Amino acid sequence: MGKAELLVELGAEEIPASVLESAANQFADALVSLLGEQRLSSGQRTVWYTPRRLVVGIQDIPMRQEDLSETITGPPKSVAFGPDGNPTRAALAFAQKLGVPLSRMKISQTPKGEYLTCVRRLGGQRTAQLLQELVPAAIARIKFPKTMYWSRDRFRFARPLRWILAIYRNRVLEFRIGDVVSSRFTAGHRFIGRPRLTATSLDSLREVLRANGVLVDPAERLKVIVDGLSREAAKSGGRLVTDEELLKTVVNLNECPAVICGSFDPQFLDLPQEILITVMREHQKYFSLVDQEGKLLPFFLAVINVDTERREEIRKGHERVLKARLADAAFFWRMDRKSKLEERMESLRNVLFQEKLGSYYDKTQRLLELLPAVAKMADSPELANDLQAAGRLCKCDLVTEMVKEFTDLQGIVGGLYARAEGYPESVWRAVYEHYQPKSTNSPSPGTRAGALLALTDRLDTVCGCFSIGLIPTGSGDPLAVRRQGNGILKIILDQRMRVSLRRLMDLSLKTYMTDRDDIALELHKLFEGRLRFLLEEMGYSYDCMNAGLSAGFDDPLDAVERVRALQDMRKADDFVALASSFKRIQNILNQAGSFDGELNASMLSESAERALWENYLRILPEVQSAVRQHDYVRALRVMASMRQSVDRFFNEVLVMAEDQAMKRNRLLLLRELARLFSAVGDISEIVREG
Amino acid sequence: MGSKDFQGIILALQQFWNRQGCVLQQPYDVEVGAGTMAPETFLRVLGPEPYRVAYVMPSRRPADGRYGDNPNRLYKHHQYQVILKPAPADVQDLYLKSLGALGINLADHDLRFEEDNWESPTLGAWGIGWQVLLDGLEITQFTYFQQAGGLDLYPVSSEITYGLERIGTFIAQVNSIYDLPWGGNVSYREVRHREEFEFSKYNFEAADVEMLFKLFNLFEAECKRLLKMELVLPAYDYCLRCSHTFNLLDSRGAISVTERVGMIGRVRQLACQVARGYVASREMQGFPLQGPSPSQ
Repeated sequence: MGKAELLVELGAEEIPASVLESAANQFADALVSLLGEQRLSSGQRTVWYTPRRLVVGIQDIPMRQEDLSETITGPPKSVAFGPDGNPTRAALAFAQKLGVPLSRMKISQTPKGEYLTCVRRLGGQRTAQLLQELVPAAIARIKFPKTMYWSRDRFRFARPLRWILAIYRNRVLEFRIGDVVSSRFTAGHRFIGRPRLTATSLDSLREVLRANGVLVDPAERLKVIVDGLSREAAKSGGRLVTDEELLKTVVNLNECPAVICGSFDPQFLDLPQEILITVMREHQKYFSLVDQEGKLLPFFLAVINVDTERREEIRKGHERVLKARLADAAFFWRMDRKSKLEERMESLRNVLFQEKLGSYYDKTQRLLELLPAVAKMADSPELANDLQAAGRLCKCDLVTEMVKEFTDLQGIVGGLYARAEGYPESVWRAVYEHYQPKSTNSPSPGTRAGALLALTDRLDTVCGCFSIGLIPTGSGDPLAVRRQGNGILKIILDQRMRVSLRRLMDLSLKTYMTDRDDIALELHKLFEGRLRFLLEEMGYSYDCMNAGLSAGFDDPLDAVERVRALQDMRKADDFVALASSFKRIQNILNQAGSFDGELNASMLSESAERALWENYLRILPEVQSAVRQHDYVRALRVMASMRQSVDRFFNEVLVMAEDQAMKRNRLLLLRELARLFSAVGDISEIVREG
Repeated sequence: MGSKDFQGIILALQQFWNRQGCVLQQPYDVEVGAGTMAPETFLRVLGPEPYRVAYVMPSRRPADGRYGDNPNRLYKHHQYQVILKPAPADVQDLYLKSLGALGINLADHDLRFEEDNWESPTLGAWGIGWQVLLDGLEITQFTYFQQAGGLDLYPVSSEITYGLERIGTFIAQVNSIYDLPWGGNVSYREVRHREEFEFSKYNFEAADVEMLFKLFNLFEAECKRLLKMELVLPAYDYCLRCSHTFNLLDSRGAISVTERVGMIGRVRQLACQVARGYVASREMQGFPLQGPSPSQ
């Protein structure tokens, strides 16, 4: 059967850069999965996008669905035919319903007995026909964080759809979405391309767009930008400050990227480098250049959305804008330092943290109460004084003009002002770093004091939110509590802190005058969810997570060490065998109901059970000492050495002996074993691979 | 064509949008923070009736004042506001053509629509859209309204808000707003600088806080009273006055955290009631602008 290419381009008004890639991939995924549901295979897929279009090409889709035959079961033979062998009304009704004559049905043997059955053949439909429904369905499956409607049918999308190019077998697939009718037309670059172009294949689309000022393949745009950045950097004798996230953003902001280099007045270099880079990056999406020593140069690289020879005017425009921005920053830097950072604390009364949780002044007071206790818990009591100083300062930059203008610089600005005021490094750095980590992939604070301040700040937010019932649900998480939870765990793990989550939470909940158990329970659930999320990101498999976390995670670092050990061991044959024996032990114990007492070694009569007991006694201290040292791989290895004696026990010994005393004694032996095997986690969760 | 001075830009935009069938309204005579708040936008986007309107709106933002010292910031700036209801499918192209009418050749510039969704808690309004950047300079806010006064909007209006001072400095290639030629051989500085200085002084230092709190309460009460009498349009004026009074108090640093949330909520409540009242009133009048064959 012949196969053909499907090509769809969704033309829209400028889709936000941050959602572009995900939207295009979702669209391709939806198409492939809908094709699959229709028994249509698909070959290589291509996903392209620019701010104004999402393009998906799928190769080798069969032109017709495969035929399908299905067996439909009707009434039992005894009901379908009378004693005379003639069909009953039930049989006739069945035939009528399916529209198949009785003569083409037969009696089949089924597990339930003899039944009247009918094999119905469904002829495969033409793919082109099916696609006219599948493509709109796939478009409707694209999810955006924020959507809008614009036309009468209130179809929702990130921005208005303006055209849809949809081609299969060189012909237009006809459908309509909102106020847009599919066609073979696309559009070039807004200013240097033609507005109406035709394409009938993926290749022709790429080429006609290229000729009209659009590089539709993001990989091509990336290359143009990367080449342009290094060319311009070399020209000005500087080194590019690499910034993957910004790079991605500019790839997704332009259809026809080109790089220009501008400069700014070197007098602005008196400002802290962080501020200059942020002004350029956040507000203008410019790249920065540094010299060989890493010092900022008075240049910037901008990615523009047009290919023109007349770049002078564009450069001058960008320079004027940047100059105004930097002048603002310099003004704020000068003005803010007229008053001391700490003197701003009173003004924090006017900055709302959360309606029911008060102002940032209130938050600061809670932090000051928590910090010494947290420092002690984290085994760093010597930092208590520095942390008090940093705690007093840390939120004060919220009322500086600099942070009001450049909110992303919160913390950093406070740290810089504290440094300028002569605070010791451990203090100003703690302030500087206390919003880190920004995400699970970005670094957490580099200093212990910074880490503890960051941890305490988040702890206060999370516990505060829970204390007033602001518990994240599905998509509702206004204060990003989940992310705060991730931050807490990431800091604990990165800093290798041995702390008790429960004790940290109790500490914080006390400042909110609450100790309700239901809140603690919800918090426990939050941290379990967050820890699972982090472990998943680190690449651990579900069964190891389940096994490890079932033994608790109050000490998150310890929990991660246990999960890691389980993951390391899950390939070892002996261990996997032991895991399934453990499952068997648990089942037996569960079925046995309640029993108690002490194991009586002298009652162990058979050699297999004696051997098991001796073995157990031999490895017990070894496992315990390994667990004490958090050397869980060794603990598991020692356990795995029990495999043979456990297997032998089950082969030779009947646990549920008739003699009640003997039975109870054997159950007690198994319970001891189960306890030992659970030291690292519930290993019955481990799934055999393959 | 395309004039290099401030009033030339306004004239060119008036002519352009006149050709697109817009009502050319005059600036509304109550203080507002943005052209969106003028009744010609906030009220007209409600309900089913089509409408096209354009107007200049002097916009007062007390907290943005810089005593006339900052070359790029003003207490009062001028917006050119265009509402197209329903939003035509080629609304972006129309906007780009209007830039052409100002003499800007887009093939030689870096123009971008970057995500920027507009939201006004005091008006119970939000929309989806972009800031338009021209060679890195934000010159326009472009929004598809989704909700106003707490009501879902259909048909959807497109709002184009040009920052006239920004466009002016771009075209004239000057580094300070005050160096912009206004027209008639007079500069922006000569027309407005003293005003910026005095109002900054007033907003930050001189405004009588106690009186403003009193006014806020009086304006609110009056708005509610008028709403009960179904005098929606005058009621909206008092809602706007509440909003501006709030802004003044805010720039005086007179509003505490808890008050802030509460006061914004109070203004929003007025705005939402006005919105409902306005739709009811237009409905009573039979939606006069809807035309002979009413569409949903």
